[in-house]
Amino acid sequence: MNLTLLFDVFLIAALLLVSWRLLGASDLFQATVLFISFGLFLSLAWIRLQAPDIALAEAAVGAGLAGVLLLGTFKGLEPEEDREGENLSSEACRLDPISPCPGRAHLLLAFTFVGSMTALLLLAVLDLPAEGDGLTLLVFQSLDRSGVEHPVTAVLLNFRFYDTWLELGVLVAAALSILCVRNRLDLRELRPSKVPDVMLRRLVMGLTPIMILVVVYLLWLGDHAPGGAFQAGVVLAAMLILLWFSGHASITSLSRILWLFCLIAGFAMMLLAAVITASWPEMRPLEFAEEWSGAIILAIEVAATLSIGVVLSSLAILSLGAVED
Amino acid sequence: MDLSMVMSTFFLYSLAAMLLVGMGIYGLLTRRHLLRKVMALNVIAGGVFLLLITTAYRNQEHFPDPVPQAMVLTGIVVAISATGFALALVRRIHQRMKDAKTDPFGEKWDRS
Repeated sequence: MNLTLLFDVFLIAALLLVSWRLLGASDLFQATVLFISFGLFLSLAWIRLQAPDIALAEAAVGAGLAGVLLLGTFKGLEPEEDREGENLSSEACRLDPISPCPGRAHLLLAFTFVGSMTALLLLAVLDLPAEGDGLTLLVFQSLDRSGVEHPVTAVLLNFRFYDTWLELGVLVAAALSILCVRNRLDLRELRPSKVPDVMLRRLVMGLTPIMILVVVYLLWLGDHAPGGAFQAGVVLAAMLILLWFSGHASITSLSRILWLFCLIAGFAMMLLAAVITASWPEMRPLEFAEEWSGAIILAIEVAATLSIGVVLSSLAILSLGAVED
Repeated sequence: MDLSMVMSTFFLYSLAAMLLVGMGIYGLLTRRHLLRKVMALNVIAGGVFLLLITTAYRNQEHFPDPVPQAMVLTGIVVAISATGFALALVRRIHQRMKDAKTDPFGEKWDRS
């Protein structure tokens, strides 16, 4: 009993320390590396709190992909200047260069505000009812009718279908708005900034079949165990990024139409499911008939995996890639 | 599992979650560099997720409450796409500031 408590205390101390350091470190590169370890500690916490689905996604997204995005952006912001510390680049990156730097009064005000807000939040948490099982029982009572055996997948793709649907919409919106910001129509001319070496090419070539296997396995696992479209999609994204980075054919060699198709596949599949269920007799929209729900969920998961993988790898490639002159 | 154990874990982690949110907001308010503001936003997101997951852990019968878990799973993917978009904006802002520095009359701005 005391060992678990000890582990909890250490983990929480590590989390708080890392986040404090990453916000306070004077070196931006150091902060980025600390941010990656913050993601890893968070995924440890998810494991501890019996949320393996989230730990899988967090390790890949929070530690891996966010690290890639931050490092890519960091490199893009004049690496020579950044090494010197924060001063130069912070000058270059402030929204309004004329605005004064935060002084003592500003810091004190911010500290008071944050302190009182944290205290209020703590009071709110302490005020939560001590007993309660949330929606656990309800989910387990209806699990038989959902078409899958794993409760988290059932919630994601059946009971709270709306959330997942809108989330895929957010992904499409994010990809399109980044294209707007970068002034591009597609990813086709983006190349990695360094010429990939032979070793990496061979290694990625060997790893690709294994990664495809992992994607399919995770997708299939979502039916009855931690896993599913999100985790599979993230692994797919990692594979696409690696393929691109080592100079193989990846999503940058897709035509524009095909890329857009992959982008909206998940959202479109869910829209299709919504339309079909709306015209089904004796069923409300988004209510799946019991005998079909397994098949519908599988189809949606496959499309969602494709979309998540393509969108997340596009985000990374857009932030890392450079156009060859 | 012993109920008091679950409760003490819940309090420990929710305390950590609130502190993470507080630190993140403080970083967001006081740090000037935009990359750090993006990181601070992610720390806030981490705190919120942690609170949701500890609540799920507390509300367990044989399995933690799957509804907050599903919400966090959705939230992680939304957070990463928002981060990607924010970082693209940071780069664009940086580019423009650089242009403004080397181009005091803002001719490039007008053309683009």
